Amino acid sequence: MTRILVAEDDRHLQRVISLWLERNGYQVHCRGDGQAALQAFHEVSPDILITDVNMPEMDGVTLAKAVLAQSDRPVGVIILSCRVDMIGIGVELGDQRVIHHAKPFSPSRLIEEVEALRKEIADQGQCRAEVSGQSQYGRNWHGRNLWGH
Amino acid sequence: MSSAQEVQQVWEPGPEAPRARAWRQRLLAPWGRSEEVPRVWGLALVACFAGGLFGLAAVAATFHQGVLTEALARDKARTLRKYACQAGAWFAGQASEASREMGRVQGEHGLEYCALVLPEGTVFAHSDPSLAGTPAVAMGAQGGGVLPLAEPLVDATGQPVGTFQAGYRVDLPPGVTRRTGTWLGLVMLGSLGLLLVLYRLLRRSLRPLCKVRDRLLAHNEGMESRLSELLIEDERDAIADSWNHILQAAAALRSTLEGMESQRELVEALRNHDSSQAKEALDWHPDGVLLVDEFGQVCLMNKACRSLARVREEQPVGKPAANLSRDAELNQVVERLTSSSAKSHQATVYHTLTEDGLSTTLAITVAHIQSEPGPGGALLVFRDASQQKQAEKARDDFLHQVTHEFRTPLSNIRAYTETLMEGILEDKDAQRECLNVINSEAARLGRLVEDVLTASQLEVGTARLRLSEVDLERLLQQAVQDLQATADEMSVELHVTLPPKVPKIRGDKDRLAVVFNNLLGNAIKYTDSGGSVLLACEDRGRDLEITVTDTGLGIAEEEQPRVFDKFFRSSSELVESRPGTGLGLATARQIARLHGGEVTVQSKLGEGSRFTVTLPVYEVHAVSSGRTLGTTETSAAEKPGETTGHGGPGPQTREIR
Repeated sequence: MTRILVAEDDRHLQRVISLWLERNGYQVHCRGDGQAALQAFHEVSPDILITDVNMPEMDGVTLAKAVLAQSDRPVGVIILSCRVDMIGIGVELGDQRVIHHAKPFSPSRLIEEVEALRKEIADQGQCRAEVSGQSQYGRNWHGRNLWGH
Repeated sequence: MSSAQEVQQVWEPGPEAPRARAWRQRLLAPWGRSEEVPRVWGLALVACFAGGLFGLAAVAATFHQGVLTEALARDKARTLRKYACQAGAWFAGQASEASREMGRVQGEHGLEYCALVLPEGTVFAHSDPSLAGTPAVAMGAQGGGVLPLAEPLVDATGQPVGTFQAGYRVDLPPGVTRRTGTWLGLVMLGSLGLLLVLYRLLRRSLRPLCKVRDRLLAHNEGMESRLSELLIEDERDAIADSWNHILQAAAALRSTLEGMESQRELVEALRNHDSSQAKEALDWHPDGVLLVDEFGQVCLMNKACRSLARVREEQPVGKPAANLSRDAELNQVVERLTSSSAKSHQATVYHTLTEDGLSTTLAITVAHIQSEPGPGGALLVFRDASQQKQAEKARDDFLHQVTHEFRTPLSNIRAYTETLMEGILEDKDAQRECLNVINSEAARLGRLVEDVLTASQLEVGTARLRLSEVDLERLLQQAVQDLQATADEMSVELHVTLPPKVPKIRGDKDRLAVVFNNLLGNAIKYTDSGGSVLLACEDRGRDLEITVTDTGLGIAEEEQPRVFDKFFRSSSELVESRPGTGLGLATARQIARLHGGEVTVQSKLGEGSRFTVTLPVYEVHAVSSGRTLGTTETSAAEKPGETTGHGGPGPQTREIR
């Protein structure tokens, strides 16, 4: 199962992102700030990092740089930001697996991005996890209550 | 009044005796023009002198003749005296005998005539016998060339018996007669008199000329330079008057020239003064001004330019403008801007120079001077655009921040809407939760819009207060209630300390709510987990003091004066990592000031901050118009009014509508 680490300080966004990812069969780990996310990265060894830019403790770009530098295997990074200067972040960081996804975003489009990124990583034969279940957007989802209700 | 008129008035000839004037006119009139007067007077003088000389010669000749005649008469008288002793015999004899004797004496001495005259005057005997017995008177008138002589004759007793008279023919040298000599002498005397008169007249006429000459010599020899000293004041004469007139005109001219000279000097001084004043004024100007000539050399540079452009030269005027600054890049910019090949007449470039760790952004505006004909050049104005750049950066940051703040709730709204639309949440509670999130995020978006709008209105001064009686206690409780959830989420304790009775104030409830929400929200936002925020209210009589104290990050001392500036956000990473627009405190302060109050801050970095809102409590006033700010029951019944303001402190800046 592809592990995804979500770093987002807005709890509502964090929840909706994790909802959509989990419904698409991803294993999701959420953190509310950059520092905690970096720590979690070492703990869970995710395949893909989805991060906000403006966060307490450590911003998303720093986190992405740290992850890319510290990881011993390819990691896909999706940076969620409304900042136009983040559009070319992949080129700036010298890694085509770093993708900018603009806010406000469509969760389904985000899932497409995640899927494409996962495939890219999988094609390189370096992805050690396999996606369990369907990953087609919008299908086979169940109304599981993520909020514990 | 012109100087020439003054001169005429001052130097009008004085009153002259009418008689003297008449004489002058009588003397001068026959000769017409005044330049002919000396010639006429000269001819008259020569004529008088010649007449006088001739008369003198004539008198001298007459005198000489008289002397000769007297000498001859004396000589002949001695001759005649020898006949006196014979005279008695002749008178005793016959008259005819005596007449023969007379004829003999006449012939002997070559006399013209010779006669004996009785004492009674009758001729007794005469060389011409026909004349005997005639009166002797006729003998005296014998005409010129005859010298009459008479010798009295006495007898032995000494009694006169008659006279012996003889007429000698004298041969005198050519000369004038006595009468002519007398006339000539009179002519001479007349001439001398006339000469004297002429001399006096001439002297009188020449006296002003002499004075003019004396003054001219004195002026030429440098003895007297003041024209007033050269005036002829003791003469009333046409020449003196004319001289004085000329002098006065010259004095006026000199005065005018001196005036013009002094005026020129004054103009020059004023020009220099203006120039120096302009330079001094330019030195006070905050912008740097650099005037460069067509050859690229500095013509003018003010103090600000030296400072802004980091000029190393003490005396930059005349030096190449492209090599003045300690900053090589700035020199290149100046060279490029001032070069004649620069196409645009006017351009502004920004250049950032760093010195001693401080960077300054200069806005350099160049205007090329193209005067035809005349030298060209360039005028450069250096302006410290650091603040402008900072403001632009703050605005950009604000836009970034605002868009970020907008996009976060928008992201939530979109994501949750899509979640609901896709129907992936079948659970009703989960769907309701989604709707709640959408609702709250929409409300958050609305607040953001309101914040930005309020800040904008406060900025341009169009914000209006809807005044009504405000239950401050309720307002504070509401703010706490609104933010309690956030505080809980952040694990921040929120305490409230209110007096038993909080006085009601008059104000804009919604705007005051913004003040307390912003302050409380900030306090919670910048307080770490485990910290606490205390909201307290104290009635200080004329004022209400509401304090929001936190144990959060605190504000650096150097940043405290700027925390109320719009768009200001601390450069601390801890602050930057937390969302915010930099508008909250600015908006809070402006709203408080619109209410006649104030917001102040006390803070210590790392220990926390204390924001104090002071709001005035208006006393009960019995104002008949009812349009007052107060806490009276009557005012409570009033229709809510509106107040507009421009953010100035104090109620006096407010306008009640």
